Amino acid sequence: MQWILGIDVGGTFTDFLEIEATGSVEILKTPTTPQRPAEGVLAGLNKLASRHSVTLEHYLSQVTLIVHGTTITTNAIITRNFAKTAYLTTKGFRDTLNSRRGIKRNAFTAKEAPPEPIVPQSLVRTVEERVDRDGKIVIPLNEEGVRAAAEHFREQHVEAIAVNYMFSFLHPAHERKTREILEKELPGIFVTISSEVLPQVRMYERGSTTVFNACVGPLLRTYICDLQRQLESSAFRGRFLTMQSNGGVMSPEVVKEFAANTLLSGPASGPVAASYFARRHKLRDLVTIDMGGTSLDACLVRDGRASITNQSEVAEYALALPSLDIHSIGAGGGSIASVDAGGMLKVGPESAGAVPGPAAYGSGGTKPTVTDANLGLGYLNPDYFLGGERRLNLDLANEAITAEVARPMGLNVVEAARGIIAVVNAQMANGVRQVSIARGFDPRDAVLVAAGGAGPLHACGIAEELGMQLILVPRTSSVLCSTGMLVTDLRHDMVRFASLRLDEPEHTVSALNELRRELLAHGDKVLAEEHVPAGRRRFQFTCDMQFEGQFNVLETEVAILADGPIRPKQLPTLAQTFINHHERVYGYTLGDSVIEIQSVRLSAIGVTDDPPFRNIAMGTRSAKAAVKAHRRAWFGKKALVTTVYESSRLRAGNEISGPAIVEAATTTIKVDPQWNLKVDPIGSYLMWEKGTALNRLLARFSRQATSSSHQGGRGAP
Amino acid sequence: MKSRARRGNPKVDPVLVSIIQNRLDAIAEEMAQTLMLTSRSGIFAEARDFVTGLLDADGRLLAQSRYFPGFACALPYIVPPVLARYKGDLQEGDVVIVNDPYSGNSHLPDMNVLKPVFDGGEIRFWAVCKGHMADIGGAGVAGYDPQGETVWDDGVIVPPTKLVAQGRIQEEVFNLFLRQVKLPEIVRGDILCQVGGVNIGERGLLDLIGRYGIQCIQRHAEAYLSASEKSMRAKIRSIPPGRYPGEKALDNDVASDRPLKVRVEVTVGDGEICFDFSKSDPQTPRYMNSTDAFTRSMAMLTVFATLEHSQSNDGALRPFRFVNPPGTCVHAEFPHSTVLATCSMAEAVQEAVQLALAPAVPDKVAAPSTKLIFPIISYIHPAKKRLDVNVDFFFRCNPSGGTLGYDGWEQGGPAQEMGMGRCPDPEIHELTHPVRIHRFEQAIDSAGAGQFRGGNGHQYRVQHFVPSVSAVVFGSGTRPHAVPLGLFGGRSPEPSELTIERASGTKKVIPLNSFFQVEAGDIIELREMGGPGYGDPLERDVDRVVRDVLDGYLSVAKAAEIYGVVVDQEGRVDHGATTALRQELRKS
Repeated sequence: MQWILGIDVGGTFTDFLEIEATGSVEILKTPTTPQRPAEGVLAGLNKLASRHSVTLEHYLSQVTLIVHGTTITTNAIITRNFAKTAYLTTKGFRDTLNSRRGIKRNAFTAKEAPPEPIVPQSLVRTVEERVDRDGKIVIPLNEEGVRAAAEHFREQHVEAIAVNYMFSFLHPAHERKTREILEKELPGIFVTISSEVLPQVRMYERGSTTVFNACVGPLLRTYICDLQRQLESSAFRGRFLTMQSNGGVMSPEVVKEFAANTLLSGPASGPVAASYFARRHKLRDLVTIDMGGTSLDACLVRDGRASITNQSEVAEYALALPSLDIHSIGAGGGSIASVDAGGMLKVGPESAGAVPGPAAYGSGGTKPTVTDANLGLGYLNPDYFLGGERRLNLDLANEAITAEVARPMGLNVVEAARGIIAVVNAQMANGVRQVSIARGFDPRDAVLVAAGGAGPLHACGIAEELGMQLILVPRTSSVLCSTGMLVTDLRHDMVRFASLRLDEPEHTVSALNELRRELLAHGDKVLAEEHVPAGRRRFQFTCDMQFEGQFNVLETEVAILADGPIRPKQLPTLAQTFINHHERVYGYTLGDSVIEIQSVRLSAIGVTDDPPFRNIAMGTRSAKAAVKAHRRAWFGKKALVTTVYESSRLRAGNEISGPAIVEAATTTIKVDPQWNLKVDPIGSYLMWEKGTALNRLLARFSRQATSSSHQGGRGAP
Repeated sequence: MKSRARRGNPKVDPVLVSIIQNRLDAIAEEMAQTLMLTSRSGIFAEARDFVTGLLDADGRLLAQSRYFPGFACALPYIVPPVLARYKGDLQEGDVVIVNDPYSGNSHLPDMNVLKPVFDGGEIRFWAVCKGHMADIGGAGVAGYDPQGETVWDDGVIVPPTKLVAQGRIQEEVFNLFLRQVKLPEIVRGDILCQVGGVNIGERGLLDLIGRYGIQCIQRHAEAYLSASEKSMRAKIRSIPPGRYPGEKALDNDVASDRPLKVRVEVTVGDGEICFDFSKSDPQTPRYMNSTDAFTRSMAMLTVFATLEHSQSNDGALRPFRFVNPPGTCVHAEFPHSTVLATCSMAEAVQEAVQLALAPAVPDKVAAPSTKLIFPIISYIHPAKKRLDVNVDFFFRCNPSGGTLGYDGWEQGGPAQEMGMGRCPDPEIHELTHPVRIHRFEQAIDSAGAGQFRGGNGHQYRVQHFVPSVSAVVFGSGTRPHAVPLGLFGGRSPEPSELTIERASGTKKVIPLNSFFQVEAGDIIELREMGGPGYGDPLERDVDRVVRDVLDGYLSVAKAAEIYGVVVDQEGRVDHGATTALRQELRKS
């Protein structure tokens, strides 16, 4: 037997998804061991081995692939448990890092403190050196200055150092020399330089990103080496890959140098998994929502690929590496509902968290939450929350809603609960607009993919709010991230500063082709080192473009660069691609202005095999066999007798007409009265509005992959 | 929407009230993103000197984005003059522009772009963008002319004018206007990006009308405006009723060396506030004056910030009354110049109101912000071979003052920005203009001391490689009477100093509000004042003093002299000596 494994090391639990070559699936949760995370992983592997009644060595010798995602770097930042890090920069720019460009969260108060620095100001040192805007050295590196800084860092017991000099992306010699000196002066200290982590313009964003790479680097390196050694000593001979923030995976060698790539990897595999399940129906334009206890993560997937952003923040510091463009809003099951001084109903962003949790938990919480409203309206089963692990108390939920919302607003408890749901749905719809309309994409042209513990409860409401007609709730929606790890590709994003103008065609064409050649060579080399066969390497180019004089760039895909060297007569096509994109996103263009290319980016992708998910058993159209109960639930102004189905008893082809509720161990799906549900062959659920035919909707939303579409990288499975 | 209506009022669904307000806020924010991300000048992209909003057909403010806080309460003044000009003559697809300070605006560089949004053949809403142009013509630099005496000297005055008629851009009007400005490419781009912004606003509003219908939206908007009013009045009731006077002087009135004073009396009643500015100095024949609209906006903003109220709409503005007769420096009469309405005069209005409110709400008020000193230099760009203007926002960090519980921000931005600006990037700046930045760092011992100190001032040294065509510096805060005051024992900072260092080695102070000349190789340096402190420095937490010493922002000598903390360079504190020293300093 052969297995592949997705392992998601979360803050509290480590999730395992095991898929056998025949397609059978095992799911396991073990507690995470934060002190030595590798131990928790090994403990889980031992359990899986014993499920198959074999030794760990025998089991691991049959595992061909382990993809693992870890939030240990993210948690290290949250708990401030990272390496003591110093920052070395150009003389005259001591405060660039910790001033954070002066960004304040709220204008309308003076009572706001800046975030606690990642590098204390006392560990920032400057060195005499300078490269100018043309990449020329105008002040040579003062090597004595570097040694003096090293001396200070030694006295302060620094564990990692980030180096970021002005214009180093144009001329990295000073940073390289500095690293050489530091490594000699401070052996064993983790040194990372900005010209390797992120060779692009903007000093604060590049420096802050380099600091992140330094401060979590030693930790992740230790962890990966530890885990790799233990796996190998237990006879594991397969491939071992790690999830990145950009939705791809990377080899251990790359992880050890670029730890910052994992900082936003936590939710990154969700949209990738969503695309995988959607591909089964040739659905390629999606909005994915993952709603948990405290927040909703929304992400746009276009043509099978999740959107990417280069402007993220972690702990209020910039992280400018490409990561999935996931928009989080403070709306989850635990979000608290309240009425403000003006009598307006608000939901979130405050959350009741796990403790005390919603009022219905009976753990002392008195504030009504979204979960309390869902319980009050009959959507949740008080005896079957988290698979029955936690009982919910309906009276406590209703008391909290009455006291905090119904009474102040002059409503009855049901009206108040319905109000809470309507407000949170509208807020989540605004979150979806942020990743769709604000990016120039109409959500009505997309399928809503709902996951997470609370997502499928709200899916119909959000879809109606946005005019979306088709919903997909993926199989394994509760372990969506581990699933995503097994369907994603190896992916490496690279960037080169270009500074080209389309009105200088000869120079631009030759420079673009030179950058293209250089990036492809680099991408090819990295993929070769990861043993990706040549036939499975894919390359995508984007350019950061702007109309002359604009202060910000718009990243635009340039498919023609992937096809081959660009020819001068293709420049108008390149220009038009950008103009159209700008019009869509911003509502106007400056069509007669010169267009500039600031940077060229390459995503080098190593396509991996899809996991062999086995289809579930076929059933008839009727879902009668899965009926487990009937209960009253509120839809609109009426309490309707609603059929409740047990998800594990549903069969492929079963159809359900709303109102209905489908209960699974880790999630609940609510089918509103105007909606139908159908179980697909793999066990995902499709929901669509009554009055339309599912086949017609599927035909409308499905389309073949365009030639350049990857990330998933593959056509429909 | 299926939620049921409130009892006793069959037409208003309290849940839908929140939903519609959320949606209007989100549309205003989408408009703002267009301005911020596509602008051709750092004025939008970095300083975020713009605002976007949605108003109803009568010009009542429904929602607005929160970018340039100085504009937080300014938009409602701009629609009535447009309606007066075009009543009955507006069609779908029209876009109107206006910058006339005497048509509800602030100063000429602020261009307002308004689009009426129609439903059923009637105007239902206005989508509006207001933003600062990189140039507006005139004899000054970027619209700043310290010698100008009237609004005609300052640049092109645009009364309410259709730039777009039924979807067609009026190229003749646009060309006529652009021919008068010195940076036509940038200004054209930034006006079009505002047109993009109002188009985005219209798109969102039409979608909302399609979903709920206009009557439903109007009814529910009315309800949340009332809710906002109620909430604002409740916050005002936290201020003890009474009359509170405050005043602030600028360095001078530019025409002479006489300090120019703003005087306000703030009368707090039961859930309402009246500002009386009538005792302010007369208008000056130079550019220091403010318009009635902008003075009101700054006064209300100051109360918003003090009471931590961030939602600006018609309801939140209802509790405010004004006595602001024309003829003063805070309500200039046509044709007086009002260029510094949004700069130095705005800072003075804010400080006067803060100083008035300080004794009433000592726990809420912040020590005032530092004063902007801003050189603007035009030159011939060597690569583009045409005129360019270096609007250098490194001069605009403007640390803010301390407040109970919090130190000031190092890059708080000028008073009217409230920290919403964003410091530029040194590499982008050097790629854009032929300059080299030698130093941009916070200066040691620059902050006004206090239990909660002001933000540190910056030292900024920048070398220019190309001579100026013309250069101007505007601002205030180089005289002791014009620096921001520390509160409740907090210290005021030392005044700022702007100097120019010639290649020959000579160094001289550049006088404020004057033209000056830059030669190739000159270094301009600003030693910026820090923010003022709040509370007695001897009460400052010893750990905070030590951290400032370790971080290099406070000298060991000043730690002892001002804070009474005996600490060495490595941060070791002599606690016994500290207690003794603090006791001794308290006596003296």
